[in-house]
Amino acid sequence: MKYTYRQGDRDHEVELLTGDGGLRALLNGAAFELLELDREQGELHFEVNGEVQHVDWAKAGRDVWLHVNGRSYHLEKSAGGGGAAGRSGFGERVLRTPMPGQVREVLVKTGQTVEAGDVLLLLEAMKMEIRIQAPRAGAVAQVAVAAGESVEKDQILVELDGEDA
Amino acid sequence: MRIIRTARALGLHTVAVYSEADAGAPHTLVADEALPIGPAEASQSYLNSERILAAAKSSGAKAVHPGYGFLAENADFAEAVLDAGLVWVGPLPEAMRAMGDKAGARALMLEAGVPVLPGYQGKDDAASLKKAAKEIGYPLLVKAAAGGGGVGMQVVEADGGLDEAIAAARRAAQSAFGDGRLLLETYLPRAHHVEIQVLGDTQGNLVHLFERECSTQRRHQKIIEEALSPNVDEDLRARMGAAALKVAAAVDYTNAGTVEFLLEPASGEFYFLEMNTRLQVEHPVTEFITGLDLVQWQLRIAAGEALDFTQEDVQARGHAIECRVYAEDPASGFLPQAGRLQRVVEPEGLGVRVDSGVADGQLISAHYDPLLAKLIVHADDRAGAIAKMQHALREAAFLGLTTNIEFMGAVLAHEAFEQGRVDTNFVARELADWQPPGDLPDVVLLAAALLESQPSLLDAEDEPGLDRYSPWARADGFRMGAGQ
Repeated sequence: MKYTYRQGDRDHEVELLTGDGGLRALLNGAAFELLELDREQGELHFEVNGEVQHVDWAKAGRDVWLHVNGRSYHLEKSAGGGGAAGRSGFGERVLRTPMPGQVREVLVKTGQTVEAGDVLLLLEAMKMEIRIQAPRAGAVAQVAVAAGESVEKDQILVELDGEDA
Repeated sequence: MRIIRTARALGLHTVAVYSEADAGAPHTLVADEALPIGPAEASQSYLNSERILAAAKSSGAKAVHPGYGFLAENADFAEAVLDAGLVWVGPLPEAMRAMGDKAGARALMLEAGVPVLPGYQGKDDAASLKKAAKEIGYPLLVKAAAGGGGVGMQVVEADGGLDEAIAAARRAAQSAFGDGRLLLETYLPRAHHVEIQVLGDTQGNLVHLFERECSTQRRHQKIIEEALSPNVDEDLRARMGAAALKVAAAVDYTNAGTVEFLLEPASGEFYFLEMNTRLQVEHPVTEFITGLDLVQWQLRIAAGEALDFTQEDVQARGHAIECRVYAEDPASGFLPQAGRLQRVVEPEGLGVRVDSGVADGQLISAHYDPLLAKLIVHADDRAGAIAKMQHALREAAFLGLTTNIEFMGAVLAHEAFEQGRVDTNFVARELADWQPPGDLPDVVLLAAALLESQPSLLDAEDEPGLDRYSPWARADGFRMGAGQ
């Protein structure tokens, strides 16, 4: 069975093989002997080529979190054959909320011309003021939110005109 | 949680309050009772004094401990608690009011002969502030007159940035304190934040419990604190302690409080910043080195007890460090992270303390400060404490959210920290471009794949019908003993 995991913007493939000699894994062209010792709620003990590893873990949907040897890692399991899904193509033109919060102030109007770096609106989240700035120069095609409005993560705030860079 | 633990140890019956966002949160489960006080928005729950007082009344509570956020420094709330015939676990409202008004406090300290930074407190329209800024010179700080904690604080490097800083500070001050008044202060880019813990009883006894060094800050908020400070020697300690007692005495201070100073280690000069009229987040480092339970003393003082020790009795033992674990991304401007905490692993061991308010499966909402837990360690000396904290940071896991744990490890490993040279601007100056190591060890991917495979048949037999590999199905919920 093959599994693909994405960390950041890189995909990694692991293949698990079950046979008479137990469990084997192929990763980056190398083979590993695996032996599961104990699996509990959120904890896993296993051997990799005879060396015991302790892992704290959690899963939710396609997200997997693992804490191994003093560091935490977040992986996203690929949905299937292709690479892990990632949102793309919205970088420059559509501005979204980085996190849930409330719109404090809208500083631009539809049709207004802005320069790169101009503050378009102010969000408040977790006692912090977050400035949403124009990533490039252009005209404001749409302001999708109003002051006082509560916003979710990744909600569209402002769209600029033109094409994505 | 931490307060409830001590109150219960004293045999008190505890009542927690919670907003809709915190239903089922650990503090509501550990208290003897828990009462809902409204929706998630703090203004309609944790900042709403009528609702909190109504909850106190309906539960038959005799005293109110305000914790260290929200209304803890609100003199009107303290007064309302006293007017309702309840005991307020904190200083008198008059002292809170005197210190809560930062402009007034500056004036009071000038009068008492405590050194303050050159600054301006007066008419705060834009024109007056501009004129004053010219006289003080740059760089300077624009601060909220009504409150502290770094909220709304803006550094202005030159004339051109003043207007924007004033607007931003006013917005933040208005939103956080309902009071947009501002003051100006000289900005010392290489100063250290050193604060003195004080404790006063209602009989007029006042002691200080040494200093805490809290210079590791981001966005003007502390993330690592330690006691004692590597920048304070016996002589300076005596001078700062005396100054702190002078500050507290100027407002007839009672209960626990903290006098904050800016220190320039090279010259040994220090300046009064503000006094926090409440228990502080970083109080555990002082508890570790003095062996005193500050919450216990808060409650005993509120009950009218006198301190049973003198200044000479207070001794500092060893070295303590606290790291604040925040759900935030240090690699993108410390942006707060909201989401579900999937699994919490807390470090354990001798001289290791975890003050935590979160548990597996808890939703960390965007409504409140994303402080997840505090890790505190105690060792014989500073190097030992740093090593012990590095170990605790590696043991700790808050899976599901990005945290600042690795970042704090990088700070502790920095030679500037080792030498005690971290000033309040160090993080912004030296670590702004910090990125977590991007490598992915094989064992991580192997473990992930292994978790996809069927668990061995032996294990799958017990607990039929329960998805025992899901964190939601944890029968024990969370570990009471660990979340203090």
